[in-house]
Amino acid sequence: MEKWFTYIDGVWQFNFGTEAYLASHEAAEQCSFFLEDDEDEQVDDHLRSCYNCLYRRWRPEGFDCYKKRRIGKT
Amino acid sequence: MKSWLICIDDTDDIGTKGTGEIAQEIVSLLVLEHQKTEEYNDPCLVTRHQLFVHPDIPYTSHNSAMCFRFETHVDFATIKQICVGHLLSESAEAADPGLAILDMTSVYDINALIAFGQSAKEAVKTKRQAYELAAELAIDLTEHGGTGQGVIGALAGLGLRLSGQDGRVKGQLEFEDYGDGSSELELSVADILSMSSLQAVLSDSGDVLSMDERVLLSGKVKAVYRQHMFALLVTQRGNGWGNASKQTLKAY
Repeated sequence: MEKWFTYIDGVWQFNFGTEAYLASHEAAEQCSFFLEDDEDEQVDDHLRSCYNCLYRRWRPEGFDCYKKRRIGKT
Repeated sequence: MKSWLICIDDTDDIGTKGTGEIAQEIVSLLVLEHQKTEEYNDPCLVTRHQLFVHPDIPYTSHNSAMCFRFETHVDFATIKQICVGHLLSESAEAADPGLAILDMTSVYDINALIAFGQSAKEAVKTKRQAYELAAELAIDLTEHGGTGQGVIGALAGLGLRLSGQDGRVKGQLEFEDYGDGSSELELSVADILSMSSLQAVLSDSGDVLSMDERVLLSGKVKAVYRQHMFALLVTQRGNGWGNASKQTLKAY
């Protein structure tokens, strides 16, 4: 997962911002924790995308993965 | 009959029932109350309003408020009791719920309320600012657990809805013969309006499409609130129009 996320100050941050749909699809395809968020909060037509995931928390320039945050750095 | 604008914010946590779902449930409860004495035919659509995403704001995952207008003979005390009761029973334990109720027949400074909403999309606002404005405008603003930070978004959501230029409509539009969106369906604008509770079909540049223009529907079909109308947003697709993708709707 470190191809797509960087562990900074205890949080896994997505490396590619808010418009990198292909990277978001790839990361979600590889993630066993992906769970779709409420449909009204989804922002990507491709369902399996980190941008649609229940465990993402938006930041101004991207998002943090809260599932990975709970697991910590492995 | 009076018209009320009701907004809630900060009721959820990751993995719990979303604020939109709670708002929709409150609508259902209020409609049931109204129907004790009279039919209710308004679709009462819930709009989602995106607020500022900033490290200093303790939102759960996306920081959005949910708002709806409810026209009824049911009195204020009963409306509030239903809203608060449902917020208390359904909000997440870690949430900081806020509730704002505006009597739309009252005299209030609509521009001040809209300005607060627009400011809450690009700046960090405080509870104190929200309570001061609510008191000034005679808006009922209350918190129902946690830090009560949700009052900021609840008040801002009222302003954004009143601006007539903000928000996505909660849920998906359903059309006869369209099913789950796995296949495409072409309809005229007139068909779309007659088969839904929408008031217009708008292009992403803000133009109102004429009744005879045709739109190709595919995937999930969602509406926005623009120009004081519930509208289907469309984008150019080849030589015609298609419903906007989620990527496009993200900005609304």
